[in-house]
Amino acid sequence: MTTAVVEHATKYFGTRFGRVLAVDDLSFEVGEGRVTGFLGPNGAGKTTTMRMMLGLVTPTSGSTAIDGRPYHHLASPLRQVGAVLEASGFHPGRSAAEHLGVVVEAAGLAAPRVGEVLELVGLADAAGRKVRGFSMGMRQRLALATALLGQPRLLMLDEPANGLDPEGMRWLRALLRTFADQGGSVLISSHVLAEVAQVADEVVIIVQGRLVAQTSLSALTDRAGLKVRVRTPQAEALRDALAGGGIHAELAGPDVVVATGASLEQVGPLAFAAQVVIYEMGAERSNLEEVFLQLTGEAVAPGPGGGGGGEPRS
Amino acid sequence: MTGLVRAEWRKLLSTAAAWWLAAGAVALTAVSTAGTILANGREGGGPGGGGAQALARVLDSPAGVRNVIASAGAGDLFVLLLGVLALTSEYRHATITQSFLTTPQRGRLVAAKLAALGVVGLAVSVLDCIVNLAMALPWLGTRHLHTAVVTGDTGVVLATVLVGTTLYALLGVGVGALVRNQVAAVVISLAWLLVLDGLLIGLVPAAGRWTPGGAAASLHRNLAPTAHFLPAWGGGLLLVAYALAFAGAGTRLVLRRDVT
Repeated sequence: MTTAVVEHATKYFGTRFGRVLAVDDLSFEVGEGRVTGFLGPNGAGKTTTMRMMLGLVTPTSGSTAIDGRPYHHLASPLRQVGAVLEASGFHPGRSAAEHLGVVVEAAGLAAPRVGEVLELVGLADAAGRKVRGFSMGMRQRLALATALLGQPRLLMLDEPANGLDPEGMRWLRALLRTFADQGGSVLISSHVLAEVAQVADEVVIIVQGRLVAQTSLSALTDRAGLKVRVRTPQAEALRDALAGGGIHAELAGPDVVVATGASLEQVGPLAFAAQVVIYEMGAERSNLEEVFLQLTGEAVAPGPGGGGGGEPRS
Repeated sequence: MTGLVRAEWRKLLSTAAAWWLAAGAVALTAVSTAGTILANGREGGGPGGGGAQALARVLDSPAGVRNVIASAGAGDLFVLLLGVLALTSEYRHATITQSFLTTPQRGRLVAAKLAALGVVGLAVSVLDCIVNLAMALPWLGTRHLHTAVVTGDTGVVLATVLVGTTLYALLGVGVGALVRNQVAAVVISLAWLLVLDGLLIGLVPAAGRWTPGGAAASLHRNLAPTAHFLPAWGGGLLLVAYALAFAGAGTRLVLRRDVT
């Protein structure tokens, strides 16, 4: 079952310079109980797509739905979807608790939720402080606390890494993992694959507003073929042994061999059989990034019809 | 819906600007009440002459008393700015995103703002009236004018102040919905009401009485219609029409506009 669906969504923005195509006939789904990474270079249309899903931007054509309904038809939206958006702000003169209190009041949620979510995101001590004095990281935590107020089953986060330090990002990933393991669904956007690779089960990749791929993370890895990097004093011997076993391998340095299209399980036995000394051996994670760049690069290059996929922001 | 309205109050009351504007409205009313009493005295007494006797003569007339009581409406401009804040503050600090996420049916959000600001406008105008009476009654009382105040159309004038000021709050919400930029909305409101309306009312009264400011002035000050102003009921209806038109047009725009 899916929780969120985007169907043939297209969005043109009217600007002074004419109409700009931000999202182009985009369709994808967010699976239930999964973390879906929403990837694409800056200006690919990720923010516009998420804002269409949340009823903030009206699609020029096509539709979006949460649990089968357009966002503005949800009976109690905050109980179904929690959103952390980039251009969402706080009144600097309100305290964290006041900000959450206003949302709780408007959404008809229980007042004690304010304290609970502040505790959850580690802002309990700052509850009474005005947002004016908050750091970027604290604002992101407060935004996340707001999203969690209604105990939603779906979380949507737009580039959450932008305001978080590495430690904060690790904390967020753990929180999202727990959320998904308990059956929640997550859509998290980023322009850097590595940021979501550790937590995403699935990725949706868009470029210039068009879908490039919706696939599981493991399928994405397979797509480029595996790569194994081995550090050994007998690099040439290992290369020859691998070649004998039908595996393409190259020297990447005097003592480094890189085997492509092979897994650790294939390389290990061949090295053992050839009695090669091994200092270090590992599957390369970086090639995910290469796949990503390759996919997004391919999509940009031919560009029939050319019209830019700009993502205008006010 | 009551939750939405309460949320709007909390939004407003948790910002310092709202309290300053409310305080400004009351202060302006106090200054205007005192000023009207003094001005009436001066006009009646003529230059240099006068004194308590002359002051009493002018204030004693129904029009004089009415002018003093109608000064309670002087704070309406600040109340309009309070209304302007309701939406422009949300756009300025980008809290509108969360508000629409919470209440995706935007018409309901605007309706809640109108309801909340209507009550706030009424509350501030009640304060204005209390301050006005607290100043005017003792002042006039020292000149033995209690009866004139109590038996005149004071009640009706105060009612027009309450209605007019409340409508100004709603007008402000409409202006804020049409002009999202806070500074622009405030400047436009002030320029329109203080300068444009003021000039028209002063120079071309026949046209000036049809402006929002002219409508408010007709409502407050003119129970006995003269050439310059509309009758009070006409001014009131015109002000209702302005509030409806601005709130309606503003709501239409808020409903259609993408939030990026």
